[in-house]
Amino acid sequence: MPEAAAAATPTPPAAAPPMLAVDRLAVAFAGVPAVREISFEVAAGEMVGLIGPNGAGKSTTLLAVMGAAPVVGGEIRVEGASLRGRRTEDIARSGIALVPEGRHIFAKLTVEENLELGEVSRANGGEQLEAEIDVRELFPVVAEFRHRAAGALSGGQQQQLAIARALLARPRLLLLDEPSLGLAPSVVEDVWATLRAIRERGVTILLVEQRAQITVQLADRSYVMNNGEIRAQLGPEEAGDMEKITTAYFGAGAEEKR
Amino acid sequence: MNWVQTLVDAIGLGSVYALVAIGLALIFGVMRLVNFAHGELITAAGYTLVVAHALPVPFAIALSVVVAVALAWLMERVAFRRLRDAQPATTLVATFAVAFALEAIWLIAFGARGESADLLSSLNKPAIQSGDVTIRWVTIAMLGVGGILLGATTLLLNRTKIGLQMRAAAADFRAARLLGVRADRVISVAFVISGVMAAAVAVLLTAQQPLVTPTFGLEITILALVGIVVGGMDRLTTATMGGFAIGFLNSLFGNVLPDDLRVYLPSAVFLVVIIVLLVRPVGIFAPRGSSAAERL
Repeated sequence: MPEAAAAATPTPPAAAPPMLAVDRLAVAFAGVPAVREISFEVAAGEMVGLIGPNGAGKSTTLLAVMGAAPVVGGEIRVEGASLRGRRTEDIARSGIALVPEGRHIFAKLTVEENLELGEVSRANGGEQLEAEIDVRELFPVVAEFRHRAAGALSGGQQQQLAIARALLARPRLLLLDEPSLGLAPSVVEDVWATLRAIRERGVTILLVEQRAQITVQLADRSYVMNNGEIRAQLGPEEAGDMEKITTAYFGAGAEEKR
Repeated sequence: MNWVQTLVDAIGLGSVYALVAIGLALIFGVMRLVNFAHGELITAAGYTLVVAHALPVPFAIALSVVVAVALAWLMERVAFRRLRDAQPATTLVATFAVAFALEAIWLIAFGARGESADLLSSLNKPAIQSGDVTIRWVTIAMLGVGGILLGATTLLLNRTKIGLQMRAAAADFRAARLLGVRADRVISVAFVISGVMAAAVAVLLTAQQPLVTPTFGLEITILALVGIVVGGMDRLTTATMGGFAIGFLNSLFGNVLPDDLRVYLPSAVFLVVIIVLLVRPVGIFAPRGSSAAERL
């Protein structure tokens, strides 16, 4: 009897699928593995950190989500829909934005033109973000220099432009790759403030960073990656525990070596 | 010999070469592809004018544009699209293959001796005659069409959404795709524009000299290619100026050299090219301070 069968195996109330679900993702460049079967999830509205040393596979993971890295195994789902085999531009247009490492602003185009390019995805059915973000209010610098060549901005201003450009697509999921890289400490503070503000407006964020402590403190959850694998998971309450972060970062045995 | 006459003719031919250069430089800018098969678009448009010579002139011209654009689009779709992630040497060889395949087709279909596309030879009549200087209609057409198409391309690139996306893709293709710029679309548009340029070149060249041979577009393309390398390949403006310059020089030497030395015309042009590349490898029109490495 179908009803009895249903009662015997009670299904939990259908929960909404997570914003991002990475399941046993494997990436390899010409046979050399860069990401080895990692799994993690990011729920809607969450901010999740991905920390680890250089070459751990963090950036590759983000590029794999964007369809810009050679995935050799596993699944990437956004709100339940698989992204595998989809083209980068189609993934961008489905409401997923990446602020790439090194910012990749268009130096010879004006600030305004860079922002216009951010709207490419929105114009085509993006508009996933419920809370309207006034980019010009959030990034006064960007509004001030709109007619200047983007390459003439300072590093911090370029980073702001890169984030503003990504937000103009009104993404449901924002991926950031080392937004603090190469910036002066005071400017890095601005970046964190910006991320807090974006998150308060309900954008789901996956943040890749080398600055471990601040990331662990900011994010709802942080995964420590090394050598293509996820080695540990840390909560914000562990941000003060440098020893624990260091151990997770460099693996067991790091303590003795020091 | 009349210097004013020589200069006027050289400027006219320079404009035609500039149009070839725009077509080549757009494709190179967007997808870093040196399209040796661009000349076949010109030849295709030329043979269309041969075949359509019985039609009213505007229809024949429109048909040549349609054929060149369709062939350009098809070339990208069939041959170059699947090679987009391949090594530059592979794609370069592919453009040679397309060029030679099409050339063989022209040879089989139309023969080696050439056919006459005698549609616009009336343009060779003088428009302005002053003393011993004659400005023919075809020279005015070359300047006018060259200026209009160059202006239209500039407007498209600087004032439209697809133009902005093309400039972004030319600067950093991957970053553009990450923002949702459709690679296929941007590249197709570049090929369509290069098809329009090729048809315009075919119309102008046949107006001056109606014979269309299987290598009709090849020679001008190779020379224009040399011009854009000399001018500076990575920028549309420098590439266009380079194309203009080589067309100008070609026409100038053709008029200045005595008849018995005219066989050395290509040698003379290439000698200038070699000297320029030795002195200024980034291209003569590239801004000061740009390096050779930046170009590719």
